[in-house]
Amino acid sequence: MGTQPAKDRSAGLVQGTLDMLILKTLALEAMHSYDIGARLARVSQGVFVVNPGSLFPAFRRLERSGLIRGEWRDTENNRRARYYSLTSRGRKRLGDETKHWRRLSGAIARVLEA
Amino acid sequence: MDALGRFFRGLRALFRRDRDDHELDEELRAYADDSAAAHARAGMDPAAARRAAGVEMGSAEAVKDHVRDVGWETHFDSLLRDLRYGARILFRHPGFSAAAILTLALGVGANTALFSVVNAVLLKPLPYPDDDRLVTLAGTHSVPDVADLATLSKSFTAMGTLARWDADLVGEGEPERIFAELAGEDTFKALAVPAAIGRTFDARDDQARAPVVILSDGFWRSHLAADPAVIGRKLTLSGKVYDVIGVMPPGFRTPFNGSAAQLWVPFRFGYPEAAEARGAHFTNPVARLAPHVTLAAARAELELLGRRLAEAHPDEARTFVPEPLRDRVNGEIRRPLLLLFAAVSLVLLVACANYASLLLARGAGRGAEMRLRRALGAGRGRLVRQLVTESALLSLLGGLAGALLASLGLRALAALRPEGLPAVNPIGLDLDALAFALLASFVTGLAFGAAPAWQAARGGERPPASSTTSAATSPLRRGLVVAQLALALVLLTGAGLLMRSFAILLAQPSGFQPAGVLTMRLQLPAARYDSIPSQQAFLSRLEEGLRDLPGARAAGLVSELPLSGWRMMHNMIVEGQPQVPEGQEPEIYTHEVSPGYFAAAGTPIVRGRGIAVSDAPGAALVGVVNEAFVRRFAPDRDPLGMRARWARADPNAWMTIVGVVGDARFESLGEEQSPTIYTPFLQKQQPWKRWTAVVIRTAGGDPMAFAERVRQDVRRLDPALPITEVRPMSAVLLSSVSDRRFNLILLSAFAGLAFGLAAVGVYGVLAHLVAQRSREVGVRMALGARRLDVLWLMLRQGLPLIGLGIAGGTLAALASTHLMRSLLYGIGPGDPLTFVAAAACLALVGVLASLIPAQRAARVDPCIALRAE
Repeated sequence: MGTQPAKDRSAGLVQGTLDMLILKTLALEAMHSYDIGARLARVSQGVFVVNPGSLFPAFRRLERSGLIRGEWRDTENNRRARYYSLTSRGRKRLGDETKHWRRLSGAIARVLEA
Repeated sequence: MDALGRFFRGLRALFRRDRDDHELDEELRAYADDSAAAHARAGMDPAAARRAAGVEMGSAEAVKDHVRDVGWETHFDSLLRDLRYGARILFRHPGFSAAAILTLALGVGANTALFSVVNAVLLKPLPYPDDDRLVTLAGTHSVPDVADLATLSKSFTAMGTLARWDADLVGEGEPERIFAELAGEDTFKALAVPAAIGRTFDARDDQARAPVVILSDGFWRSHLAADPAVIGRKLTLSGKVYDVIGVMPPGFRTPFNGSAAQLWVPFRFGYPEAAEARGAHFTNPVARLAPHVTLAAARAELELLGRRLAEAHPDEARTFVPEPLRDRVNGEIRRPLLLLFAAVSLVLLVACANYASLLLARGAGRGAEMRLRRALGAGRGRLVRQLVTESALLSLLGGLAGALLASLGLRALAALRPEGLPAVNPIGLDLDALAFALLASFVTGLAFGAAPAWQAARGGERPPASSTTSAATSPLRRGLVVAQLALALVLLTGAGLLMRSFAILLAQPSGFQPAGVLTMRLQLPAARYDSIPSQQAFLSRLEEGLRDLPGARAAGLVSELPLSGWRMMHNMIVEGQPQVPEGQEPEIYTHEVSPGYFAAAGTPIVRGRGIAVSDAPGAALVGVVNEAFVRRFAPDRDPLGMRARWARADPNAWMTIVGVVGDARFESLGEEQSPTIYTPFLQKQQPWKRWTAVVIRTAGGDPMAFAERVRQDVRRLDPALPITEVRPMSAVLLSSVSDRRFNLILLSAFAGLAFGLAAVGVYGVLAHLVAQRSREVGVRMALGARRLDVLWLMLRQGLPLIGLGIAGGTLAALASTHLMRSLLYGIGPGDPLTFVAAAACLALVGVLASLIPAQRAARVDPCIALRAE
């Protein structure tokens, strides 16, 4: 990542997968938009770098589906930012998706190793 | 649940769009700040960090667009914008908009009106539960036969039968004639419609001595003020007192007799003689198939039962063939109605062609707008969407206007209502029809608006087409005009065939002279006229009184009026004919007449004499036959002096034929003539024939002016006797052709509509051509062309279109008119005269429609035309 302006390397991410990763990121604590993108990049060790052009529509999508909730709060350095947090429905969906994903990726791995 | 949540959140977003936009801006700004701060922390100088953050973000507007696209409300928003814009455009071109909406409205309106009829008559089920399980028996049958079948048969859960009955309601003031029906006890059980108040007939009524009656909802409201305690009230009908036992629900109608009955009584009380008479075949059975019994199985069983009944009553052998009730109710009207619907669909096609043509011309005029919008970045899909939205707006308005026209059209149709149109379901502009109007309008609007929209949107990409051939006169538009002309010709040919048939039919000899003749019907109540002498005494006095009325040329009585559709057949034995088994004697139409009848009706006496006053009880029995009788039974001998008698009466009661009269039509003008015998009512042998029609030939003027005097005369003899169906003989004749007239008027109206639309189409194309070539015309005229040359030059443009239209239309008509063979009379479906006349008519109108713009071209002032460009 470094100082180079990041290129959107989320193109390989299917919409649903990006949504799941965002839900997972928010499972720990409420976050604002930049932190969500940055954490996704950091945790994936630079594999998923998601641009605002994909990130913000995903927030709107999840919010419309009632999976996350956004509210304005002050940050630690006293700026206003929109913090997103999981709703109970979002938490449930994350559980379902994770289970589904585990089963799927396990199966794919077994097929590939066979 | 998810979808619902998205819907409501989107709805909420619609109302706080500005705030949402503002928040999104702020959020994006915060993101950029964070991003810049992160870059700065990584060691960039502040300016470079901000730049890097900006690159990462890309266009903030693009991001916002992506975000907005997530919610459905955005699409709704742009739809609203398109609609607003479309409405503005339509409003700014009122001429075009009015023409397009009117074109759609005419096509859709005509279709919706006819759809309402088709829907009520053919599509909707009969208003009885499981109506597909209901059957009737082909033909008409007697009450005892139906009762026996109901008892013996295992195929039906219930079988009843219905017959028309005119009831005289004597209350306060004038006696009133109520249209009623006699009903077999199980009729209502078969129809499976329970009473709204009280009950329908059941087995109790078989044992009960007291007469009972069931009322329709309409009668209950109009005559009994919707009295909730009506059960047990008494009604005096035709001299008997009936107990009300039930009121049917609103909208309940029986399937036969025009579905007009207002009350129902059992045969046993209303017409006791007929309830016992196995030979009186005048009722329409209705039965409900038992579960799991097929029509074929029921047919097999009834055939068997028919044979058993024939063994028991050999002189009344009948066959019983069940058929679906629906087929009986709709059978006759189905084909004409479907043909009319096909015809009106052609009208819609013609209208569609006009509509598409209008849009094409309009699209050509909007090339500049489309190019500009393309240049500003609108995608083709976006432009098509805009144009389709405009089309949809036109469709909506056209559909609503069409529904309005349809409701007016239905009112006109109701006035024309032919007698053969079933009334068991009410015909009106209902929700089905409205949905049909909007659907038809949208399908046509979008289907025929899409191609022009596509062309217009594509036009936006290309440089302007050369000015002489724009889309306005493109091959597509010319093709549309040819198609319109061809379709209009098909309709015109069809209407022409009906018109010729109708004229030929009306020119048929009817066997009577209707001009100046007044008719009416009387039914003698059983209570006061149960014996033959009492009936004869009344009728004799009546005829004398009527004959002596000032202004009456002749007056007579007849049991059934010509062309009224009523008549009775009896098995008769004609002397000199080969012996036949009992029950298979020839069936001959019979009418009882008074001495004055033939003169009053204008039926000519061909040989011998008519009925005389001396043909009285006690004198030798006589009869007068028609020419068809002579053709059948006495083709090569003198009919006078021949003898005939009723097959079911005294074998010694021979009637001697004393005269021959001309064939008169009793059923319809186009019917084959059948052997008929007229007997003097003074020698009548059936006491249950208590009805008569009065025929009075007046000296001239409106026969209806005579009605009051006749009424007074009847009232003088019997003040409680109701008089019905008072109308001129010409009206009787007209109502006998009302079905044909309905078809004729409707098809003619459709042909006229298609014709007008096609003429407008021709005119539109030619007018456009003329406008485009006005400069050329100017040059030609400046160079010395005469006005006539210019006129011909322009007219020549339209001729190939008209020629092709006529050729195509004639071929299509040749291929399709055979479908209407059953509606024709006296001509074949390929009648050359009609084809030529229709083509000539189309050619004339086509040339006239071209002549108007051509003449405008010929009036062009060369100076102005040349200066204009």
